[in-house]
Amino acid sequence: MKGLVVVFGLAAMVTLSGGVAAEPLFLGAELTPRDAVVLFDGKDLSQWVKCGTDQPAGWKVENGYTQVVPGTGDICTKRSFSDCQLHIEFRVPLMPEARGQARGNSGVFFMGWTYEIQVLDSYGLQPGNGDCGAIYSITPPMVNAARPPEQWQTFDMVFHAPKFDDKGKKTANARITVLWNGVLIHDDAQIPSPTPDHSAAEPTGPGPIELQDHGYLVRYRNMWVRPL
Amino acid sequence: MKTVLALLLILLSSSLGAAPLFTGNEARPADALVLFDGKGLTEWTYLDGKPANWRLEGDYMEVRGGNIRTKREFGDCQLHVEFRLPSMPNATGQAKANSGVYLQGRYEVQVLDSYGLQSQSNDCGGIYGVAAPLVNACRPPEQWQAYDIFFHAPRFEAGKQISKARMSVLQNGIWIQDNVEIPGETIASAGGDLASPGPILLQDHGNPIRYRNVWIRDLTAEKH
Repeated sequence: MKGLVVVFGLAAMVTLSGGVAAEPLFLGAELTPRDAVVLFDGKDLSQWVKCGTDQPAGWKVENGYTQVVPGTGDICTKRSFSDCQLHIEFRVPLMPEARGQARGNSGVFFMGWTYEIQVLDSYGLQPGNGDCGAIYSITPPMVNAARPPEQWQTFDMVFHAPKFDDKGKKTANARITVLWNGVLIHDDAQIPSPTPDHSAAEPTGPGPIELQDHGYLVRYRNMWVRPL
Repeated sequence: MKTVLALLLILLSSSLGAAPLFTGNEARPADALVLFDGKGLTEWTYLDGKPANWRLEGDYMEVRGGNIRTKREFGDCQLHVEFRLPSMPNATGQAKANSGVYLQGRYEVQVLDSYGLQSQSNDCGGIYGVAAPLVNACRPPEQWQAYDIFFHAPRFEAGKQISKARMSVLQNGIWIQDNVEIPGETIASAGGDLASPGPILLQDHGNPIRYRNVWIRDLTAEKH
């Protein structure tokens, strides 16, 4: 009897998997794949909290985007991720009188406040490691692929968490590939240390995606992530 | 004097900034070399050097009369290419809307209707015979699809190979090849000296595959 159950079980598995079938990621021309975790689709911030708390995210939601409300703090996804592909769209405000880090500053972090890709209005600059698209304070983007302020821009990022052995010793750096507006700006680049604080300990487990409130009216929309 | 001039140049260039890749919301960066935008096949030939004569209509070209290759040759590059497969519901396997995109004429990313299949290395998005895609990111036939490919040529020093070719690929925005090392030329490579640049090659495998919006960015000057 037990043998029969096993045989039926196996038959059912083979039938269900179809032997060769895979669940399609796309049914037609849609852009968000079906295996994506949608983080923000323009409706609400139900997937987010104020970082380090269980309070609701304080950013405002209107017209399909969310905008930093200065002083309300960074926002973090409720879910945690390690290796992942992240799609994010952002829009920096026009601040023609501002310079450097005061010009529409924000940032996208992996694994909590650990590995940052900078968001800033760096349009037209020779990019340094504090400019938009930089692995903040570590590696400038290969090229400046900025659109002008007030245009929606995209980051498509593939992040690999650092690896550790049983004793907690790091065996592989974090790595990241980034397309900015479809242009390759980091190609499997190593991230040797956390970006905001190079001496901080690196996380050995997953962490949230974090968006920075740096006091500027930066907007985000259409955010999704695929755990890898 | 020479030093002063050099300093002046450095000062000038740093104050001038970088030429923007985008001036608004256009999709293609300004540093891209357009290989095909629907207007003609001036960048392409058949493998024997005769002018490419794939069928042109609207913004696309369709397979006709043999493989085509770019006149220019490339090393490290970012390639964007869009393709559309016909619906061939009665065909299976390698007979179902087969074509391919070759980097340097030597390393093939397979083009095929593999919709709904558990992808193997000879399915769509596979580095042919080398690596299956991480996931099957196909759209159904008759939908336009896109590859964004980041290619690193093998490196040679004093005639000795010191690194292999590598490739990452997004299909329809999905990460399907993660910096994969390619041990050697894939099947049906156009050959040539592996240390030399090579063309982008699009395969005529006998099926009416369409291509459009093909552009490339030279990455040979970038740090890796």
